[in-house]
Amino acid sequence: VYNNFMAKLKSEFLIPYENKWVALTPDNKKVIASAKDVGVLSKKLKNLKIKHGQAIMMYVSPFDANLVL
Amino acid sequence: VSQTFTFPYHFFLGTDLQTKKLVDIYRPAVPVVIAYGSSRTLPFYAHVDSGADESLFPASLAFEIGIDLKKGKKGKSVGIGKIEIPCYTHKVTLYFYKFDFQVEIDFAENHQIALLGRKGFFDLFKRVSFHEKKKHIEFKI
Repeated sequence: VYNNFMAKLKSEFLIPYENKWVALTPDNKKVIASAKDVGVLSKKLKNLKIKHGQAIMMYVSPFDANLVL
Repeated sequence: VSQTFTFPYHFFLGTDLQTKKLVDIYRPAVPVVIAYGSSRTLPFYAHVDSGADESLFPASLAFEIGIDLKKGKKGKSVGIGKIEIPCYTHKVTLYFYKFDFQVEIDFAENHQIALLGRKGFFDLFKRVSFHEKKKHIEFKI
């Protein structure tokens, strides 16, 4: 039941990346790279020769807390 | 000439407070790029935050484009819980949708979430509308 429920989540693939910055493929379906800090992530992407249009970065906020901004 | 365009809310992972199960949470976050001189970041999602007076970004993004953080105007941001975050203001180019804007952004160390606030973002537009049912945000410029 748990697996069936999880399979329906669009964001399921983000589970390993809580509190990290990730670089997503442009279709937002896969993680290319991750790091605890966006600067470190940017360096990883440079090393991977990822260019503009090939990734978009996002911070994976904590799963157990509402975001009050 | 006015122009209107929309962005869908972006998905995040959160917990349903009643069932305690993980769920998709959709938030008004839009892809942007910032640049300083000839350096620019890769695109990243920033939260459109009507409760923020100004835009506040992680300092790592400033370092990434060659900004000397502590040469900026020093200030502080206060969030919910009255936690004060020291920050430094810098002028950067903000790329959003088809446009580029010269704006001031506060950068803070030990801060991870990119926030687009009223000064330097909302005030660039004639109208910013949040459509919670449709899960999209509409901008009129």
